[in-house]
Amino acid sequence: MKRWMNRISTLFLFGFSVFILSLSLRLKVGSFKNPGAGFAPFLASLLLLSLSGVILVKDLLGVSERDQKVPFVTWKNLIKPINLMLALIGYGLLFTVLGYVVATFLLMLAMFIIYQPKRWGPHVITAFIIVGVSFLIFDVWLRVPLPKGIFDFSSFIRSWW
Amino acid sequence: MKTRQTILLIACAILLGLNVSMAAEPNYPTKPVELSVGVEPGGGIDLSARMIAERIKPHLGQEMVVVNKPGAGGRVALTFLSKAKPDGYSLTSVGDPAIVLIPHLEKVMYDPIDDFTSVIQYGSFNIGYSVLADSPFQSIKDLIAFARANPEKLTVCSMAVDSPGSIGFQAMALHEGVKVKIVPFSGSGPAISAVLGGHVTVAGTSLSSQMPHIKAKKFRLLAVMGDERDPAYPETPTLKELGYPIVLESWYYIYGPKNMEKPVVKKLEEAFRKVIDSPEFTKFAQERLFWVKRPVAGEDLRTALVRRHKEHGELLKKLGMIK
Amino acid sequence: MDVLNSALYGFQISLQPINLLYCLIGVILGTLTGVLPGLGPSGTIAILLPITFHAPAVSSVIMLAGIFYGAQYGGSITSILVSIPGEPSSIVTCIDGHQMARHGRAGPALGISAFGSFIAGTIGVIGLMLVASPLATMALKFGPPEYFSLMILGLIILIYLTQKSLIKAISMGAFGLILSFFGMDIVSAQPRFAFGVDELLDGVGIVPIAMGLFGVAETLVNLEQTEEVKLFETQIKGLLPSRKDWADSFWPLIRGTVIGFFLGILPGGGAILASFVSYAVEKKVTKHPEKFGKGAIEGVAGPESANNAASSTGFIPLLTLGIPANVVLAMLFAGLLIHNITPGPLLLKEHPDVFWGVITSMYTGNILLLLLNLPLIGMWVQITKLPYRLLFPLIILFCVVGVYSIKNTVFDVWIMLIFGAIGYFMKKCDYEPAPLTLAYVLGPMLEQSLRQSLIMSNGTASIFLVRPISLIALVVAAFLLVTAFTGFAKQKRLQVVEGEDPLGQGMGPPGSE
Repeated sequence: MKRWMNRISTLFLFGFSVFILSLSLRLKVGSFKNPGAGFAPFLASLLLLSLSGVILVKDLLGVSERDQKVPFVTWKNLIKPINLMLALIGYGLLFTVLGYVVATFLLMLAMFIIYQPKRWGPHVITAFIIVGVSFLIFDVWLRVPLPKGIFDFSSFIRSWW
Repeated sequence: MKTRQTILLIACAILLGLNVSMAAEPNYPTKPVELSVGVEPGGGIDLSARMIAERIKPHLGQEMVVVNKPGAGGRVALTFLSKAKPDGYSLTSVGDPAIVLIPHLEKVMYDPIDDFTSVIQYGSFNIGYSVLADSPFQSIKDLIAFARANPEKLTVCSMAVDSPGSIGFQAMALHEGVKVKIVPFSGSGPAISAVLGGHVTVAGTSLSSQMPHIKAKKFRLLAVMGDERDPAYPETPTLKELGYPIVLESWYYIYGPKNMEKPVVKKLEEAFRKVIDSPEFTKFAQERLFWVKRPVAGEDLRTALVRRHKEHGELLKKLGMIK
Repeated sequence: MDVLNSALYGFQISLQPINLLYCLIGVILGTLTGVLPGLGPSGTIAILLPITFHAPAVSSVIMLAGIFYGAQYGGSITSILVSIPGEPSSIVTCIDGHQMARHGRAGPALGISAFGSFIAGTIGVIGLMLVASPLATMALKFGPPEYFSLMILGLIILIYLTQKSLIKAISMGAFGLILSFFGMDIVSAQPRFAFGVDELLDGVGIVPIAMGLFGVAETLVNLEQTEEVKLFETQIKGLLPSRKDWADSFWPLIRGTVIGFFLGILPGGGAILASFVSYAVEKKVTKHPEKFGKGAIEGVAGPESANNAASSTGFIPLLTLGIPANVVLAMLFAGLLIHNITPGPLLLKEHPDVFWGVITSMYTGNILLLLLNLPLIGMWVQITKLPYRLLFPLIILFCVVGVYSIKNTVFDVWIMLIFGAIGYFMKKCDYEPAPLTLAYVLGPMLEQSLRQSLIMSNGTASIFLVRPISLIALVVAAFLLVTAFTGFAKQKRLQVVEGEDPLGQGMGPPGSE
């Protein structure tokens, strides 16, 4: 698992640097006398390229990473992180559509359930409280602009005051 | 069960209904308006925008918040503006350079007139050319002589690579057939620091930004670039007087994205006008050396800008800077 | 002594009840903005500027100044508690500060941070009083080539922040640099790496990146545990720094203050650079470098002092030259202008009340901050007692709102998530987030000064070596680079002999999983 993760990471960096390198060439690197927009990115991506290249080569040659004293992850360990990621992605998509209040409530609920799949009841209540309090703090008190979506609680509450 | 569901449905209906009724925007503005500025904090342009933003609250009913979006002589801010929603909450304080000057010289990501709504004009900043008070250069002539003897050694900076200050000097250099170096900065603050520290020789920034240093005898003002001598420095010649047909004024405007609603624009125009016409603002302007004539707005402004755009293009052609 | 007279005069002004009140408001708000990421000092000041319109000049400036240096106090709180930097200058504090919290030592960490900030801030103000003018002149000597070399030095120092693989740390630095180049090029207004996405024209954004790498990624890693996550040791070991803590922190405090004092004068550089230079210095001079990264109090005392000293001296370019070093100070500038006071070379002569009033108010401000923050430590420490199932959703919420509130665009939230994923992989593969974030912060200034210098010198790189300050910075950088490599090499050889391998580049049994 670890070797796989390491390879992917290094390949990502390597690929990224190649990508940026080519883009910066197109941006006009310019010369030392008149450095262009691509000058600095060119140099930086060159650096990243060589470094990730070195790491890749070392990995391929079998000079491996140090032993992990703690066992690395198995798929079982990845359930919760992956679920959180999925929940967050869903949140991102729904955030503006449903507005802060509803979307965050769902997210909180999801996060509690991810961690403790057993009891939904208390989770709903806690999520409700957290969203309510945070809404009061951020929107009403601090006036931080939060997306309203199709449920406009903000004007609703304000119209009451 | 059924009753619970019905209650839930009714509650949702009420909420949605309330939401719909809240949806219409009756009175602009109902939240703070963002005014972006295309320079780093601290120059005369930045400050004049902040001053206006400060004073406009009573006339507009909401705050105006200034945000800096420095870069490329205002082009960065303007590019952002061209993509903003025309709901009246995004405005930019922008100057001649990004509208009437630079588009002739380089490709820009917007149409300087048509992609925007011109709200009002609020002041002009004369450009001055200064060197350190203890420098050996006593006049523009000295600078040119030096440049002639030492090609590509004279360093000039301004608030941006394509600001009137930079272009004016380049035009002058072209006219004289000498080569100088324009060092890029983003904002008159950093540019002035560089000159104060001796890293760059000539500062071609607004008189407004140079004023405290001229007063403190750290800067020597060699010339101004205007149609006439600046009232604050009557002994300093204009470039025109010195023989260079270069007059690049730097007027500043409030711009909005295109297709803003007419009532919104009107309301903004009135609010701005009240601020600009107020005696405190005039006093502030005078002290900071930017000049406020009777501000042109709306359609008149648009016409004026189209004309200026054309005139600058012709000037640049005459100077040989574009074909 | 003339300065003493001026100081007394200043105190007469700053100790007036109304000014004390404004100062208090300012520092409270400053601390709040420091704690909440995204709600930065500039946003707060923007909203408050209208109030200053109606208040007397000196009072308004005192308040605004309080917000500025108050933010340095608040930024470290979240860094220590949940490893999320509230301010970029507190990124370094995350490293050891949070580890201390995990070992039940959040109290001492917060305490030494508050005390260090106080001491450094106060010394900074005193220094400000004594040497403002000469310092300003010195600061002017830093032109583009000097800035470039200083940035290079800063980047090299990144290496000293790493606990693990050197080569991986440098690659993270390069990655951070590249990310900083995304957006519109300031010189040519060309969009770079924007891929047609408008939001990218402004760059990727430090807050989404930091929240993603530090907040989200950390949470993802913590959630891997199948049993109940126990982030913090349940036994809270004291609320305040112990005698030993003080003894250990003494010299780091002093060094941090000096470092911050000098680096703070440079417009644009300031507190961030100072904080991680201080960390690197502490790591280099300590007798126990292996403690760093595991909760060494020196790694908190030094940087926190440095960033506060830097915020004191950050006022110098503004007060003496009229050039604000950053957005926050620019608003201060605007505030002064509204009252027809022009900061600059003539400020001292024309408005000595403002000059000395503000400077002495910084002293009282620091005292107020200390008095405010110390009792709150008990409250902050309680957060470590929260069960993780409550804590991590709150952290995520905090990150999301913080990120969204900057530009009101969900795009930033996506960036945070992307960097959350990237950060997760980074953590698993021993790539560290601090070098990336700090390189990202330094990148723009590095690039701009590079281009300016090359234009100034007509393309000859010798400009960096010909000018004395630049040369010194580069020599130190080279020295550090060499010692970093040889130091690591020596450690590696030693540890290979003992069977361990701290570098991750060595020769463990192949095929280990």
